[in-house]
Amino acid sequence: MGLRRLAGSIAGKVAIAALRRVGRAATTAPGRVVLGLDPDFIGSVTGDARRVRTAVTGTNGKTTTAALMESCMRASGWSVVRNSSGANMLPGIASALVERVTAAGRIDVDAVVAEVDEATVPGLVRAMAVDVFVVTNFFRDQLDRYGEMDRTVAYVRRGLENFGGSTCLNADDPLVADLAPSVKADSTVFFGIDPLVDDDEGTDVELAAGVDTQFCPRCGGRFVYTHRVYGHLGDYHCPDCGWSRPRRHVVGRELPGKGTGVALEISFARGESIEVNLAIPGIYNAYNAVAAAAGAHASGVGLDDIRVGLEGFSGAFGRMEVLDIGGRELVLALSKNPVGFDQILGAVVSDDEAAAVVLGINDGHADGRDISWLWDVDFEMLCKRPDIRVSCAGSRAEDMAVRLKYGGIPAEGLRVEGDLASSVDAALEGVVEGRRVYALLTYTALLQLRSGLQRRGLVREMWRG
Amino acid sequence: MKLVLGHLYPDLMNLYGDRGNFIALQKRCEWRGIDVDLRRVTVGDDVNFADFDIVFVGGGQDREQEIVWSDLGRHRDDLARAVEDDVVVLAVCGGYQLLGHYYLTPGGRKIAGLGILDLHTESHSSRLVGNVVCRSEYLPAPGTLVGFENHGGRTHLGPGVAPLARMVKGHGNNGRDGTEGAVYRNVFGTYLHGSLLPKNPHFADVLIARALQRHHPGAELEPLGDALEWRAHRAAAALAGVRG
Ligand SMILES: [Zn+2]
Repeated sequence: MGLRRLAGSIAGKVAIAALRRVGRAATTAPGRVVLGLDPDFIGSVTGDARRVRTAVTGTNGKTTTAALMESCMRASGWSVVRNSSGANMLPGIASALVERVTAAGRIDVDAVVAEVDEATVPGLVRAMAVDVFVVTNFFRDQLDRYGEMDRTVAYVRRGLENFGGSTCLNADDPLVADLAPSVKADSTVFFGIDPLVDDDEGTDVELAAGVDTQFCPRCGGRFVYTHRVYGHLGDYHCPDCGWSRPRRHVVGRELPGKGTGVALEISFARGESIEVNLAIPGIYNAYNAVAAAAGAHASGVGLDDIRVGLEGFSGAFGRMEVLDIGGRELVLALSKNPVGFDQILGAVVSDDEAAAVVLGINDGHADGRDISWLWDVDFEMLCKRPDIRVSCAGSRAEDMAVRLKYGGIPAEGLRVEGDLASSVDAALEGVVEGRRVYALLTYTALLQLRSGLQRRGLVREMWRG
Repeated sequence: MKLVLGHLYPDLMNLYGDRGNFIALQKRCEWRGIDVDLRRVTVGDDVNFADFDIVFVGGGQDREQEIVWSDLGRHRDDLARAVEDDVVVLAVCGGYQLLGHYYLTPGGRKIAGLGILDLHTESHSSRLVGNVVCRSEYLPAPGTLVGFENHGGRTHLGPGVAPLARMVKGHGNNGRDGTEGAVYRNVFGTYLHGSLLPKNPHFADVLIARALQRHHPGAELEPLGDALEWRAHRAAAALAGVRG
């Protein structure tokens, strides 16, 4: 082991300790310090992992999919390191690793699970010998940072071209499935979902603002969908060039549910299958579970451990995370792009216990500085629940309020205030015990609110979360 | 009274939430009791632009834009006639570029535009991105426009168009000459996208008023309670570091 790596590790550890002493989460700064001293830190330290190095990317579901994969691996008795705070560029990944480095400058784990930002995929593939790569989906997100969705896809494509491991791709998403020709490895695993109800009925494609891709990425022809799960995910084919959804190796068939979670029968390539009752709700979480099952299976986790791992998982940091605050429930949900936001709003309006919603919209660099995407979110569905009190907060609270007004949500009495913490406090105070307050937050708003709650001792520290 | 709003290529040219502009026009008509007939036009549809009072076309990604450019060409003469007849057009980003003489791709390929606006666009690998504040003589007080720009194209205006606005903060047409957007008759082109009209209610009303006055000369718009919209307008200006 190089002296450089040891020096880097020690400096990173010192940085973590210093940041914690002043009460700040050590999500990226230690990694920046380490990478400054030892640019090869990620590659050399992950080389110690005994079994597998994995990575998860895509627009939505990265954190939950990575957390589910970790849960499956732990069910197998493996020790795992993962960048669990959602800091998913190289410094964030390095920070998670330095946390686990021993005094001897090594990491003592079986597996690495790296959640990685799309634009960082080429960098990660250069830095670390990834064995299994999972791609969840491509939706519009943070456009001002990457220009266009095509460019986001191109980043991932460029990364995967230089990658020799096995790749798990969402076959139901044509933009993800189309990555397959770029992948060098012949070990591509396609996964997908067969939902219980066909949501396609009565959907006006032109009105469905959340639909990003209706056109074939290969020839520009208009896709025909025999069914749609949500957004542009579903069973598509292109009449012009004949391309259609690839045959899937890992398929989650939705079963009639019990309770709030989703029930799935997940079948694998060799005809084996498991039945899983997820504790987390929503068809988007079914996708996360199937993506994680494909990734864990490709990593060598057995089917029974996958079942145990998926069922034992109750939510990742800030992804429908439920907190008990003085007998009232506060649900934190990262809501950062139209498709993800629609899914979460759907869950809110169908929750009878929902009493208030705080929409916390920031336009920081990590959120995407352009908030035009708010106009593609179907806030109109809040009209179904006039009993839910809505308030707007964050640096773009006013834009959010205008969006609600034009969506037909009554503007009188609408609370619009920049300060997120006091909006959430006011919402909680106005709610009777047993009812639920939802905070739907962009990324920096989530970090802000959570660290405020942490200072007040209301939630666990993030790096242990 | 009734206005026919045409939304061109909503399935292709709807990047960055341009849909917000359409919702704003629709709602601000409806709140005044003006009936709105929404028509969506996409690839392969037959269209007669004389049927519309306001035509909206948004921005798209390069790949989708090329599909649109090849389809809209067959409507060129019809659209040009409608423009001379003072049909109101709002064209944003890619839709704005499309109305010019040509668009030069990063690879040096020249894609012919419709030639309705006297301007051309050259693509550049670095993008002009950020919050924008500008001032327009086409708008009533306070005359400011606020929004967000994100474009690789550098647009250069010819003598046949006037700039829509002068930059206070941001890059505008090309980052050099201090202009933003273009106006010809009732055609408004701009790089400000997404939630442009909702937090610039005076601009939305200029478009609606011009459309009404074609058939009802002297028609005036009833004022609306726009306190929330102006709050968002001022907040956006403040975020860009400008007192709105
Ligand atoms: Zn095709």
